[in-house]
Amino acid sequence: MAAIAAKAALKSIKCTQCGGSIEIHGGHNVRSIVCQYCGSCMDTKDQFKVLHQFLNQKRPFMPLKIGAKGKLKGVMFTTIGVVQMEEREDGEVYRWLEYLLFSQTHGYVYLCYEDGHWVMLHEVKDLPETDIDMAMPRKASFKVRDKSFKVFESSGAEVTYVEGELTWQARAKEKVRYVDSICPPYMYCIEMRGSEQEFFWGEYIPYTEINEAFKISSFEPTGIFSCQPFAVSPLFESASIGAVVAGVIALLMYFVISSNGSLVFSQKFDSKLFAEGDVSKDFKVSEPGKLYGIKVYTPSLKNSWSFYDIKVVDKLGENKYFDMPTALSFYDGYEGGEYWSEGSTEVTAYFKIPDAGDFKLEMFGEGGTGEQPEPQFKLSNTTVEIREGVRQGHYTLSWFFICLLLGTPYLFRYFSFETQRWADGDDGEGDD
Amino acid sequence: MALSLTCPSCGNIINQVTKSPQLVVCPACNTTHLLTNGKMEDVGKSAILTDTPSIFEMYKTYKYQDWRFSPVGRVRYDYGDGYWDEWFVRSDNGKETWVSVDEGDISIEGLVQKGLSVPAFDQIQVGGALMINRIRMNVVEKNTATMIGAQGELPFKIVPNESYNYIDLLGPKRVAFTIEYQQDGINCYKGVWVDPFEIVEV
Repeated sequence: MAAIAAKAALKSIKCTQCGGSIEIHGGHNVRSIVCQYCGSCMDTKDQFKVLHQFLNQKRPFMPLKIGAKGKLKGVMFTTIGVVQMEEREDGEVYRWLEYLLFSQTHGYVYLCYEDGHWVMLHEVKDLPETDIDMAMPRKASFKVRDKSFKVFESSGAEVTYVEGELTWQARAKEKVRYVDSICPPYMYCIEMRGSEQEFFWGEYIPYTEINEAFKISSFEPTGIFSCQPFAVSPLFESASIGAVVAGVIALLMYFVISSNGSLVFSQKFDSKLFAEGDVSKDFKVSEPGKLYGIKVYTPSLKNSWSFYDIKVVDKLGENKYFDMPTALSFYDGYEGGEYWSEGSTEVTAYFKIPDAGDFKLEMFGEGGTGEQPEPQFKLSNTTVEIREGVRQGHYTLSWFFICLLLGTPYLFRYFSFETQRWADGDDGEGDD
Repeated sequence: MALSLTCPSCGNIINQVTKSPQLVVCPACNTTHLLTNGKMEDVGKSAILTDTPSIFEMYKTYKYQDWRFSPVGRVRYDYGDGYWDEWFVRSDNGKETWVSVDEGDISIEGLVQKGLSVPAFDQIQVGGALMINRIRMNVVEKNTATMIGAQGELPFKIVPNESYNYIDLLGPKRVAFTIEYQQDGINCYKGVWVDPFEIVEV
């Protein structure tokens, strides 16, 4: 077997149009090189023949220069080309840079730069699990690689500046349609150039990481980028999410624990209650130590207050167990055509009885419309209900509110961030 | 069980890792040997393929999703505009297969049909379609590949500068197929695309 010499790779060429020196950084899948001096687009597969020329190109601000090397995701890349894209929408102009990076081990990736934000993208062949099209509505969702993406923007842009090596032949004013969808920090883009559709998987890269990788000092980003992740300190995030989760658990426990109990007594009292007091029929306490709830309901109470002195006594009325003074007030009316009300026509008090047996209520009522009780005041209908085995769960409810309070700053910041993310998108959304 | 072979050219001990290699390239002196009945026959020197870094290195272990494998051989093919490497890899369970690599464009290749009956290479046009197993596939590339170098253990005899024609097809759901017009028949391979960023060295 004869030895085969490896082909020598070109390191630089002279522009076949202007003679300018151009360094070669890409691999054999590079299809064209655009001279930074004269804008000539040369065919790398046909002796660098000039295909066309980008005339009067205005070089944009470029935080990365062609030839810059940096390690991203543990892979060393070299910047080999750049394209500036421009989108015009409602009189606004949006521009961004798409750098083409090359690695001998991982091939070609794009590093997109807009308003100080960086996103690294590479072509993939993973298609969404459901059918998609280039005019998908905003926030429409679909799944790719088991991640749920939401459409952020469907729009079009055109090429306004090209420099360096590309894996295709770019043309001035070349139109590109795209659908950007997000699952922060990931991005999934569908791009349509002519009849060719390509799919890209991207990930937001903090500008500090780019600065460190390429040893540059790019500007701090402005605004919130579409796939920018909501970032707070891990401790704050963990504590806040923990508090919210604990709060949800506390709320669930409240619903599990709390119970209205079972009705063991119900009686309606007439106006005698206010004139001379009244004594209820007997009710049985079969499980001493359990919590009982006594609800007083006065549907006819209106723009007045009432007060009930309720005593729980044994069947013979010899031993008093509880004295429960209970007050109610209810006021309502119209002001400026709007109905208003305050207070309530019902109130619940709680008690425990240490002994089993038959008991009854001794009740006396009074009330009025002013500050002092009025002797003539009476309500024709007062209902009293007693429920056995009431479980209040107030402690767990308190924990819910405490946890919610602890998690509120995080939730507030998170929802503000998300609102701004989508609001920024609304400002720049286009669907030409 | 791994066998130890001695390179007749330089005396280097080569640990055979695949089941039945037909070709072994000595990593020390780069001499290519045909392996017949356990004996190594010197058939010449192979090209040195370490001139450019690749995502894989010989005998290292890699993981893609749940699949662990080690490259044990490599063949490099030139297709005019560039080259690609066909890595002969061995899985943890002993299964052997091919992984093609062209500047980060990686796919796991599997033979789906040997002795395929398709139109002659000259009759096929890029942009046309072929029906294979009643599935319509589009021809996206038509080219000639030339073997320009080899490394490690390989399951077949290779001949430097030997060329074969091939066509690349894109099937439904972006499944890629390659049809190779080899001297001993026409073979169809199915390629499953692999994201290079999901391959990790173990």
